[in-house]
Amino acid sequence: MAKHRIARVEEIPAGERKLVEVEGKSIGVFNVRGEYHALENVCCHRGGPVCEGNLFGRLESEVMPDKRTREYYATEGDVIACPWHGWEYEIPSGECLADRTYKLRKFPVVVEEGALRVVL
Amino acid sequence: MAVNGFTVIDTDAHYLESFQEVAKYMEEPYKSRLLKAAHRLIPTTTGDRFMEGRIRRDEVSYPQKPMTPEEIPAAQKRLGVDVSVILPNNLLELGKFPVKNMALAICRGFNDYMLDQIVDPKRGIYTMVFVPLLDPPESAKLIDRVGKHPGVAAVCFISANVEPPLGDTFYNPVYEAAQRNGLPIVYHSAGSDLHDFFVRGFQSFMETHSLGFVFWNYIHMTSVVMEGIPERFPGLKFGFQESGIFWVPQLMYRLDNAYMKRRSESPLLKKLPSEYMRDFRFGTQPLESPKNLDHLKYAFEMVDAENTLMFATDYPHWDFDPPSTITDLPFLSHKAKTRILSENAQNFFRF
Ligand code: FES
Repeated sequence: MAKHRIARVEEIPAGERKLVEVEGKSIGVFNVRGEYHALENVCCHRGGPVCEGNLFGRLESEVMPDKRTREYYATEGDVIACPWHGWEYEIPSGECLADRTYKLRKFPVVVEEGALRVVL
Repeated sequence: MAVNGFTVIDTDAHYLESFQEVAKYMEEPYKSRLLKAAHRLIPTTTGDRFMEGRIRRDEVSYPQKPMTPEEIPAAQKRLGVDVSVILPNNLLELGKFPVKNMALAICRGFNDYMLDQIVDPKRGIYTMVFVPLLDPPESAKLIDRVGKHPGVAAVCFISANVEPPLGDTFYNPVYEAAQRNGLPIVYHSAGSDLHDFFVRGFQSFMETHSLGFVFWNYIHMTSVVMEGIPERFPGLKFGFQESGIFWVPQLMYRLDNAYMKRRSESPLLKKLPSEYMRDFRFGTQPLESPKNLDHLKYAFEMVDAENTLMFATDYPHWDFDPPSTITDLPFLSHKAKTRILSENAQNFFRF
Protein backbone atom coordinates (compact mmCIF):
# COMPACT_ATOMS: atom_id res chain seq x y z
CA MET A 1 0.00 0.00 0.00
CA ALA A 2 1.25 3.42 -0.88
CA LYS A 3 -0.07 6.93 -0.70
CA HIS A 4 -0.32 8.68 -4.02
CA ARG A 5 -0.56 12.43 -4.15
CA ILE A 6 -3.30 13.29 -6.59
CA ALA A 7 -4.24 16.94 -6.02
CA ARG A 8 -3.97 19.97 -3.82
CA VAL A 9 -6.96 20.33 -1.52
CA GLU A 10 -8.18 23.50 -3.31
CA GLU A 11 -8.26 21.68 -6.62
CA ILE A 12 -11.39 19.75 -5.66
CA PRO A 13 -13.90 22.08 -3.98
CA ALA A 14 -17.18 20.75 -2.60
CA GLY A 15 -19.40 19.37 -5.36
CA GLU A 16 -16.44 18.81 -7.69
CA ARG A 17 -14.35 15.83 -8.69
CA LYS A 18 -11.06 15.00 -10.30
CA LEU A 19 -10.30 11.96 -12.44
CA VAL A 20 -6.82 10.60 -11.87
CA GLU A 21 -4.69 7.66 -12.97
CA VAL A 22 -3.00 5.78 -10.16
CA GLU A 23 -1.06 2.59 -10.77
CA GLY A 24 -2.83 2.14 -14.08
CA LYS A 25 -6.28 2.55 -12.52
CA SER A 26 -8.69 5.30 -13.42
CA ILE A 27 -10.07 6.76 -10.20
CA GLY A 28 -12.59 9.51 -9.48
CA VAL A 29 -11.91 11.60 -6.41
CA PHE A 30 -15.01 13.43 -5.20
CA ASN A 31 -15.58 16.15 -2.66
CA VAL A 32 -19.05 15.69 -1.22
CA ARG A 33 -19.72 18.46 1.32
CA GLY A 34 -16.10 18.58 2.44
CA GLU A 35 -15.54 14.84 2.56
CA TYR A 36 -13.33 13.16 0.00
CA HIS A 37 -14.14 9.84 -1.62
CA ALA A 38 -12.13 7.92 -4.19
CA LEU A 39 -13.96 5.42 -6.39
CA GLU A 40 -12.66 3.27 -9.17
CA ASN A 41 -13.94 4.48 -12.53
CA VAL A 42 -15.31 1.07 -13.51
CA CYS A 43 -19.05 0.50 -13.37
CA CYS A 44 -20.32 -2.78 -11.92
CA HIS A 45 -22.68 -3.15 -14.84
CA ARG A 46 -20.56 -3.28 -18.00
CA GLY A 47 -17.44 -1.47 -16.91
CA GLY A 48 -18.54 1.99 -18.04
CA PRO A 49 -16.76 5.21 -16.93
CA VAL A 50 -19.05 5.77 -13.97
CA CYS A 51 -16.96 8.54 -12.38
CA GLU A 52 -17.51 10.73 -15.43
CA GLY A 53 -21.26 10.77 -14.83
CA ASN A 54 -23.47 13.61 -13.69
CA LEU A 55 -24.26 14.18 -10.03
CA PHE A 56 -27.73 13.98 -8.57
CA GLY A 57 -29.41 13.67 -5.22
CA ARG A 58 -30.89 10.45 -3.93
CA LEU A 59 -34.47 10.42 -5.15
CA GLU A 60 -36.93 8.79 -2.79
CA SER A 61 -40.65 8.33 -2.68
CA GLU A 62 -42.88 8.07 0.34
CA VAL A 63 -46.37 6.73 0.72
CA MET A 64 -48.63 9.43 2.11
CA PRO A 65 -51.54 8.84 4.52
CA ASP A 66 -53.95 8.90 1.57
CA LYS A 67 -51.78 6.21 -0.14
CA ARG A 68 -50.63 8.55 -2.86
CA THR A 69 -46.90 8.91 -3.22
CA ARG A 70 -44.63 11.89 -2.90
CA GLU A 71 -41.24 11.95 -4.58
CA TYR A 72 -38.45 14.03 -3.12
CA TYR A 73 -34.70 14.36 -3.12
CA ALA A 74 -33.45 13.00 0.19
CA THR A 75 -29.91 14.18 -0.47
CA GLU A 76 -28.13 16.49 -2.84
CA GLY A 77 -25.15 15.87 -5.06
CA ASP A 78 -23.96 12.61 -3.52
CA VAL A 79 -25.21 10.24 -6.21
CA ILE A 80 -23.40 9.62 -9.46
CA ALA A 81 -25.05 8.13 -12.53
CA CYS A 82 -22.98 6.04 -14.93
CA PRO A 83 -23.25 7.68 -18.36
CA TRP A 84 -23.47 4.37 -20.21
CA HIS A 85 -26.81 3.12 -18.88
CA GLY A 86 -27.65 5.16 -15.83
CA TRP A 87 -26.81 2.88 -12.88
CA GLU A 88 -26.79 5.22 -9.87
CA TYR A 89 -24.28 4.97 -7.02
CA GLU A 90 -24.10 6.69 -3.67
CA ILE A 91 -20.63 8.25 -3.61
CA PRO A 92 -19.87 7.93 0.14
CA SER A 93 -20.60 4.19 0.22
CA GLY A 94 -19.98 3.35 -3.44
CA GLU A 95 -23.20 1.35 -3.37
CA CYS A 96 -25.63 1.05 -6.24
CA LEU A 97 -28.99 2.54 -5.24
CA ALA A 98 -31.04 -0.03 -7.12
CA ASP A 99 -29.23 -2.98 -5.56
CA ARG A 100 -26.78 -2.28 -2.76
CA THR A 101 -24.99 -5.58 -3.20
CA TYR A 102 -23.29 -3.92 -6.19
CA LYS A 103 -20.51 -1.66 -4.94
CA LEU A 104 -17.87 0.41 -6.67
CA ARG A 105 -14.35 -0.21 -5.48
CA LYS A 106 -13.39 2.46 -2.91
CA PHE A 107 -9.98 3.70 -1.86
CA PRO A 108 -9.11 5.67 1.26
CA VAL A 109 -8.27 9.34 0.80
CA VAL A 110 -6.05 11.18 3.27
CA VAL A 111 -5.32 14.88 3.56
CA GLU A 112 -1.73 15.70 4.38
CA GLU A 113 -0.07 19.10 4.23
CA GLY A 114 -2.75 20.51 1.98
CA ALA A 115 -2.54 17.62 -0.45
CA LEU A 116 -4.98 14.81 -1.18
CA ARG A 117 -3.52 11.32 -1.28
CA VAL A 118 -5.21 8.15 -2.39
CA VAL A 119 -4.12 4.96 -0.70
CA LEU A 120 -3.75 1.83 -2.78
CA MET B 1 -10.53 -4.26 -34.76
CA ALA B 2 -11.96 -7.21 -32.89
CA VAL B 3 -12.31 -7.69 -29.13
CA ASN B 4 -10.04 -10.22 -27.38
CA GLY B 5 -9.33 -11.74 -30.78
CA PHE B 6 -13.03 -12.09 -31.69
CA THR B 7 -14.32 -10.51 -34.87
CA VAL B 8 -17.44 -8.57 -33.94
CA ILE B 9 -20.44 -8.05 -36.18
CA ASP B 10 -22.94 -5.62 -34.74
CA THR B 11 -26.28 -6.65 -36.20
CA ASP B 12 -28.17 -3.61 -34.94
CA ALA B 13 -26.62 -0.17 -34.72
CA HIS B 14 -28.25 3.20 -35.19
CA TYR B 15 -27.49 6.38 -36.99
CA LEU B 16 -29.22 9.71 -36.42
CA GLU B 17 -29.64 11.27 -39.84
CA SER B 18 -30.26 14.81 -40.93
CA PHE B 19 -33.63 15.48 -42.55
CA GLN B 20 -31.94 18.05 -44.77
CA GLU B 21 -29.73 15.35 -46.20
CA VAL B 22 -32.50 12.78 -46.56
CA ALA B 23 -34.76 15.33 -48.30
CA LYS B 24 -32.23 15.62 -51.12
CA TYR B 25 -33.24 12.10 -52.09
CA MET B 26 -36.97 12.74 -52.01
CA GLU B 27 -39.44 13.87 -54.63
CA GLU B 28 -41.88 16.75 -54.40
CA PRO B 29 -44.29 17.37 -52.81
CA TYR B 30 -42.98 15.06 -50.08
CA LYS B 31 -39.58 16.67 -50.00
CA SER B 32 -40.98 20.06 -48.99
CA ARG B 33 -43.30 18.45 -46.51
CA LEU B 34 -40.42 16.71 -44.81
CA LEU B 35 -38.28 19.82 -44.81
CA LYS B 36 -41.02 21.99 -43.38
CA ALA B 37 -42.52 19.60 -40.87
CA ALA B 38 -40.28 16.59 -40.31
CA HIS B 39 -41.09 16.31 -36.65
CA ARG B 40 -44.81 16.49 -37.24
CA LEU B 41 -44.71 13.92 -40.01
CA ILE B 42 -42.24 11.44 -38.68
CA PRO B 43 -43.48 10.31 -35.32
CA THR B 44 -41.13 10.35 -32.39
CA THR B 45 -41.60 8.80 -29.01
CA THR B 46 -42.21 10.29 -25.60
CA GLY B 47 -40.27 9.50 -22.47
CA ASP B 48 -36.88 10.85 -21.40
CA ARG B 49 -34.45 8.16 -22.50
CA PHE B 50 -31.55 10.02 -20.95
CA MET B 51 -33.14 10.67 -17.56
CA GLU B 52 -32.17 14.31 -17.11
CA GLY B 53 -28.55 13.54 -17.97
CA ARG B 54 -28.06 10.40 -15.94
CA ILE B 55 -27.26 8.73 -19.23
CA ARG B 56 -25.05 10.61 -21.70
CA ARG B 57 -23.51 10.08 -25.09
CA ASP B 58 -20.79 12.75 -25.11
CA GLU B 59 -18.81 10.88 -27.74
CA VAL B 60 -21.48 11.14 -30.47
CA SER B 61 -23.82 13.83 -31.77
CA TYR B 62 -26.84 11.64 -30.99
CA PRO B 63 -29.30 12.44 -29.51
CA GLN B 64 -28.87 16.23 -29.77
CA LYS B 65 -27.82 16.57 -33.38
CA PRO B 66 -27.72 14.54 -36.56
CA MET B 67 -24.62 12.38 -36.79
CA THR B 68 -22.05 12.63 -39.56
CA PRO B 69 -21.03 9.56 -41.57
CA GLU B 70 -17.55 9.63 -40.01
CA GLU B 71 -19.06 8.99 -36.60
CA ILE B 72 -19.85 5.42 -37.62
CA PRO B 73 -16.28 4.15 -38.06
CA ALA B 74 -15.32 6.12 -34.92
CA ALA B 75 -18.02 4.31 -32.93
CA GLN B 76 -16.99 0.96 -34.41
CA LYS B 77 -13.46 1.60 -33.26
CA ARG B 78 -14.50 2.63 -29.77
CA LEU B 79 -16.68 -0.44 -29.34
CA GLY B 80 -14.39 -2.90 -31.10
CA VAL B 81 -16.89 -3.62 -33.86
CA ASP B 82 -15.72 -4.80 -37.30
CA VAL B 83 -19.00 -4.82 -39.23
CA SER B 84 -22.21 -2.90 -38.53
CA VAL B 85 -25.74 -3.13 -39.84
CA ILE B 86 -27.17 0.35 -39.50
CA LEU B 87 -30.77 1.41 -39.05
CA PRO B 88 -31.60 5.11 -39.40
CA ASN B 89 -32.96 6.30 -36.10
CA ASN B 90 -35.74 8.48 -37.47
CA LEU B 91 -37.43 5.48 -39.06
CA LEU B 92 -38.01 3.60 -35.84
CA GLU B 93 -41.54 4.88 -35.44
CA LEU B 94 -42.47 4.43 -39.08
CA GLY B 95 -45.21 1.98 -38.17
CA LYS B 96 -47.20 4.75 -36.56
CA PHE B 97 -47.38 6.80 -39.70
CA PRO B 98 -50.65 6.30 -41.57
CA VAL B 99 -50.18 8.16 -44.86
CA LYS B 100 -49.15 5.67 -47.53
CA ASN B 101 -47.65 7.97 -50.12
CA MET B 102 -45.68 9.88 -47.57
CA ALA B 103 -44.47 6.66 -45.90
CA LEU B 104 -43.39 5.43 -49.30
CA ALA B 105 -41.60 8.68 -50.15
CA ILE B 106 -39.86 8.63 -46.78
CA CYS B 107 -38.70 5.03 -47.23
CA ARG B 108 -37.47 5.71 -50.75
CA GLY B 109 -35.61 8.79 -49.57
CA PHE B 110 -34.09 7.10 -46.53
CA ASN B 111 -32.99 4.05 -48.51
CA ASP B 112 -31.37 6.11 -51.24
CA TYR B 113 -29.73 8.39 -48.71
CA MET B 114 -28.33 5.48 -46.69
CA LEU B 115 -26.99 3.78 -49.81
CA ASP B 116 -25.50 6.94 -51.25
CA GLN B 117 -24.01 8.53 -48.14
CA ILE B 118 -23.70 6.01 -45.33
CA VAL B 119 -22.98 2.46 -46.41
CA ASP B 120 -19.43 1.45 -47.14
CA PRO B 121 -19.06 -2.31 -47.41
CA LYS B 122 -15.26 -2.04 -47.59
CA ARG B 123 -15.30 -0.58 -44.09
CA GLY B 124 -17.96 -2.98 -42.87
CA ILE B 125 -20.86 -0.54 -42.93
CA TYR B 126 -24.13 -1.98 -44.21
CA THR B 127 -27.79 -1.11 -44.05
CA MET B 128 -31.09 -2.84 -44.88
CA VAL B 129 -34.02 -2.07 -47.19
CA PHE B 130 -36.66 -0.29 -45.11
CA VAL B 131 -40.15 -0.80 -46.45
CA PRO B 132 -43.49 0.97 -45.91
CA LEU B 133 -45.42 -2.06 -44.72
CA LEU B 134 -48.79 -0.44 -45.20
CA ASP B 135 -48.14 -0.65 -48.95
CA PRO B 136 -46.88 -4.16 -49.79
CA PRO B 137 -46.80 -3.84 -53.62
CA GLU B 138 -44.73 -0.65 -53.42
CA SER B 139 -42.55 -2.21 -50.73
CA ALA B 140 -41.83 -5.04 -53.17
CA LYS B 141 -40.86 -2.59 -55.90
CA LEU B 142 -38.54 -0.82 -53.53
CA ILE B 143 -36.81 -4.09 -52.63
CA ASP B 144 -36.42 -4.90 -56.33
CA ARG B 145 -34.98 -1.47 -57.00
CA VAL B 146 -32.36 -1.25 -54.23
CA GLY B 147 -32.08 -4.86 -53.04
CA LYS B 148 -29.08 -5.70 -55.21
CA HIS B 149 -26.94 -2.88 -53.84
CA PRO B 150 -23.82 -4.32 -52.15
CA GLY B 151 -24.49 -2.15 -49.09
CA VAL B 152 -27.83 -3.87 -48.45
CA ALA B 153 -27.60 -6.83 -46.07
CA ALA B 154 -31.30 -7.58 -45.41
CA VAL B 155 -34.87 -6.37 -45.69
CA CYS B 156 -35.94 -4.71 -42.47
CA PHE B 157 -39.49 -4.70 -41.18
CA ILE B 158 -39.76 -1.93 -38.64
CA SER B 159 -42.35 -3.87 -36.76
CA ALA B 160 -43.71 -1.70 -33.97
CA ASN B 161 -47.29 -0.55 -34.49
CA VAL B 162 -47.61 -2.60 -37.67
CA GLU B 163 -51.03 -4.13 -38.29
CA PRO B 164 -52.15 -6.69 -39.34
CA PRO B 165 -49.46 -8.85 -37.77
CA LEU B 166 -46.64 -9.79 -40.07
CA GLY B 167 -47.68 -13.38 -40.83
CA ASP B 168 -50.71 -12.07 -42.75
CA THR B 169 -51.10 -12.85 -46.47
CA PHE B 170 -51.41 -9.06 -46.95
CA TYR B 171 -47.59 -8.95 -46.92
CA ASN B 172 -47.06 -11.70 -49.50
CA PRO B 173 -45.58 -9.34 -52.12
CA VAL B 174 -42.95 -8.11 -49.64
CA TYR B 175 -41.86 -11.59 -48.58
CA GLU B 176 -41.76 -12.66 -52.23
CA ALA B 177 -39.56 -9.73 -53.15
CA ALA B 178 -37.15 -10.44 -50.30
CA GLN B 179 -36.95 -14.08 -51.32
CA ARG B 180 -36.41 -13.17 -54.97
CA ASN B 181 -33.55 -10.85 -54.01
CA GLY B 182 -31.90 -13.36 -51.71
CA LEU B 183 -32.30 -11.13 -48.65
CA PRO B 184 -33.15 -12.23 -45.10
CA ILE B 185 -35.89 -10.51 -43.12
CA VAL B 186 -35.07 -8.59 -39.95
CA TYR B 187 -38.00 -7.76 -37.68
CA HIS B 188 -36.90 -4.70 -35.78
CA SER B 189 -39.07 -4.02 -32.77
CA ALA B 190 -39.71 -0.74 -30.98
CA GLY B 191 -42.85 0.67 -29.45
CA SER B 192 -41.91 2.22 -26.22
CA ASP B 193 -44.00 5.33 -26.03
CA LEU B 194 -45.11 6.58 -22.72
CA HIS B 195 -48.22 8.31 -24.03
CA ASP B 196 -49.60 5.91 -26.63
CA PHE B 197 -48.60 2.42 -25.68
CA PHE B 198 -51.34 -0.23 -26.24
CA VAL B 199 -52.53 0.49 -22.76
CA ARG B 200 -52.51 4.12 -21.70
CA GLY B 201 -51.66 5.24 -18.27
CA PHE B 202 -48.26 3.75 -17.58
CA GLN B 203 -46.31 6.22 -15.47
CA SER B 204 -42.68 5.66 -16.38
CA PHE B 205 -40.71 5.18 -19.54
CA MET B 206 -39.15 1.97 -18.31
CA GLU B 207 -42.57 0.38 -17.95
CA THR B 208 -43.60 0.93 -21.56
CA HIS B 209 -40.09 0.46 -22.91
CA SER B 210 -39.66 -2.89 -21.18
CA LEU B 211 -42.96 -4.12 -22.54
CA GLY B 212 -43.13 -2.49 -25.96
CA PHE B 213 -40.21 -4.19 -27.61
CA VAL B 214 -41.09 -7.64 -26.42
CA PHE B 215 -44.81 -7.20 -27.13
CA TRP B 216 -44.23 -6.41 -30.79
CA ASN B 217 -41.86 -9.31 -31.07
CA TYR B 218 -44.42 -11.62 -29.43
CA ILE B 219 -47.09 -10.35 -31.79
CA HIS B 220 -45.19 -10.74 -35.03
CA MET B 221 -43.37 -13.93 -34.07
CA THR B 222 -46.66 -15.59 -33.19
CA SER B 223 -48.18 -14.53 -36.49
CA VAL B 224 -45.14 -15.41 -38.62
CA VAL B 225 -44.84 -18.90 -37.13
CA MET B 226 -48.51 -19.83 -36.78
CA GLU B 227 -49.49 -18.46 -40.20
CA GLY B 228 -46.69 -20.54 -41.66
CA ILE B 229 -44.49 -17.88 -43.26
CA PRO B 230 -41.51 -20.29 -43.24
CA GLU B 231 -43.66 -22.85 -45.12
CA ARG B 232 -44.93 -20.26 -47.58
CA PHE B 233 -41.49 -18.74 -48.19
CA PRO B 234 -39.04 -21.56 -47.67
CA GLY B 235 -36.17 -19.60 -49.16
CA LEU B 236 -36.28 -16.90 -46.50
CA LYS B 237 -34.29 -16.43 -43.31
CA PHE B 238 -35.78 -14.60 -40.34
CA GLY B 239 -34.19 -12.59 -37.53
CA PHE B 240 -35.78 -10.77 -34.59
CA GLN B 241 -34.11 -7.82 -32.85
CA GLU B 242 -34.17 -5.91 -29.59
CA SER B 243 -35.78 -7.96 -26.86
CA GLY B 244 -32.96 -9.86 -25.19
CA ILE B 245 -33.40 -13.63 -25.21
CA PHE B 246 -35.69 -14.78 -22.41
CA TRP B 247 -38.83 -13.99 -24.40
CA VAL B 248 -37.85 -16.64 -26.93
CA PRO B 249 -38.15 -19.80 -24.81
CA GLN B 250 -41.28 -18.45 -23.17
CA LEU B 251 -43.01 -18.06 -26.52
CA MET B 252 -41.59 -21.31 -27.90
CA TYR B 253 -43.11 -23.41 -25.17
CA ARG B 254 -46.30 -21.43 -24.99
CA LEU B 255 -46.98 -21.84 -28.70
CA ASP B 256 -46.00 -25.53 -28.61
CA ASN B 257 -48.42 -26.08 -25.81
CA ALA B 258 -51.29 -24.48 -27.71
CA TYR B 259 -50.36 -26.16 -31.00
CA MET B 260 -50.44 -29.63 -29.42
CA LYS B 261 -54.04 -28.97 -28.43
CA ARG B 262 -55.17 -27.01 -31.48
CA ARG B 263 -53.23 -28.33 -34.47
CA SER B 264 -56.34 -27.99 -36.65
CA GLU B 265 -56.00 -24.20 -36.50
CA SER B 266 -52.55 -24.32 -38.13
CA PRO B 267 -52.57 -27.35 -40.43
CA LEU B 268 -49.89 -25.78 -42.62
CA LEU B 269 -47.26 -26.32 -39.94
CA LYS B 270 -45.02 -29.34 -40.41
CA LYS B 271 -43.32 -29.18 -37.05
CA LEU B 272 -43.65 -27.59 -33.64
CA PRO B 273 -43.65 -23.80 -33.40
CA SER B 274 -40.48 -24.01 -31.29
CA GLU B 275 -38.75 -25.91 -34.08
CA TYR B 276 -39.49 -23.12 -36.52
CA MET B 277 -38.25 -20.62 -33.98
CA ARG B 278 -34.96 -22.48 -33.58
CA ASP B 279 -34.40 -21.91 -37.29
CA PHE B 280 -34.68 -18.16 -36.72
CA ARG B 281 -32.02 -15.79 -35.46
CA PHE B 282 -32.22 -13.48 -32.47
CA GLY B 283 -30.35 -10.28 -31.71
CA THR B 284 -28.86 -10.45 -28.21
CA GLN B 285 -29.47 -6.88 -27.08
CA PRO B 286 -30.47 -5.93 -24.43
CA LEU B 287 -29.13 -9.14 -22.95
CA GLU B 288 -30.61 -9.95 -19.56
CA SER B 289 -28.09 -10.14 -16.75
CA PRO B 290 -29.41 -12.27 -13.90
CA LYS B 291 -27.09 -12.41 -10.91
CA ASN B 292 -27.23 -16.17 -10.99
CA LEU B 293 -25.45 -16.82 -14.26
CA ASP B 294 -26.83 -20.35 -14.41
CA HIS B 295 -30.17 -18.85 -15.30
CA LEU B 296 -28.64 -17.13 -18.30
CA LYS B 297 -26.78 -20.29 -19.22
CA TYR B 298 -30.04 -22.26 -19.31
CA ALA B 299 -31.71 -19.59 -21.41
CA PHE B 300 -28.80 -19.85 -23.86
CA GLU B 301 -29.34 -23.60 -23.93
CA MET B 302 -33.09 -23.27 -24.48
CA VAL B 303 -32.66 -21.04 -27.52
CA ASP B 304 -29.74 -23.05 -28.92
CA ALA B 305 -27.63 -19.92 -28.58
CA GLU B 306 -24.64 -21.16 -30.49
CA ASN B 307 -26.74 -21.45 -33.61
CA THR B 308 -29.38 -18.77 -33.17
CA LEU B 309 -27.94 -15.70 -31.44
CA MET B 310 -26.41 -12.75 -33.23
CA PHE B 311 -24.67 -10.08 -31.21
CA ALA B 312 -26.10 -6.55 -31.41
CA THR B 313 -25.10 -3.35 -29.63
CA ASP B 314 -28.04 -1.08 -30.40
CA TYR B 315 -25.49 1.70 -29.94
CA PRO B 316 -25.85 4.62 -29.31
CA HIS B 317 -29.20 3.96 -27.63
CA TRP B 318 -29.55 4.28 -23.87
CA ASP B 319 -29.56 0.51 -23.31
CA PHE B 320 -26.73 -0.53 -25.67
CA ASP B 321 -24.60 -3.62 -25.06
CA PRO B 322 -20.83 -3.57 -25.60
CA PRO B 323 -19.16 -6.73 -27.00
CA SER B 324 -17.99 -7.64 -23.47
CA THR B 325 -21.63 -8.58 -22.83
CA ILE B 326 -20.77 -11.76 -24.75
CA THR B 327 -16.99 -12.06 -24.44
CA ASP B 328 -17.22 -11.97 -20.62
CA LEU B 329 -19.72 -14.83 -20.30
CA PRO B 330 -17.91 -17.59 -18.41
CA PHE B 331 -20.17 -20.45 -19.52
CA LEU B 332 -19.70 -19.94 -23.27
CA SER B 333 -17.04 -21.82 -25.19
CA HIS B 334 -14.68 -19.96 -27.49
CA LYS B 335 -16.51 -21.49 -30.41
CA ALA B 336 -19.92 -20.36 -29.12
CA LYS B 337 -18.63 -16.81 -28.65
CA THR B 338 -17.23 -16.80 -32.17
CA ARG B 339 -20.57 -17.94 -33.54
CA ILE B 340 -22.58 -15.38 -31.60
CA LEU B 341 -20.20 -12.48 -32.21
CA SER B 342 -19.77 -13.00 -35.94
CA GLU B 343 -20.38 -16.33 -37.66
CA ASN B 344 -24.13 -16.55 -37.20
CA ALA B 345 -24.51 -13.03 -38.59
CA GLN B 346 -22.11 -13.83 -41.41
CA ASN B 347 -24.34 -16.75 -42.42
CA PHE B 348 -27.55 -14.81 -41.98
CA PHE B 349 -27.02 -11.45 -43.63
CA ARG B 350 -26.03 -10.89 -47.21
CA PHE B 351 -22.66 -9.19 -46.73
S1 FES C 1 -21.77 0.33 -17.62
FE1 FES C 1 -22.41 1.65 -16.08
S2 FES C 1 -24.54 1.60 -16.22
FE2 FES C 1 -23.90 0.18 -17.73
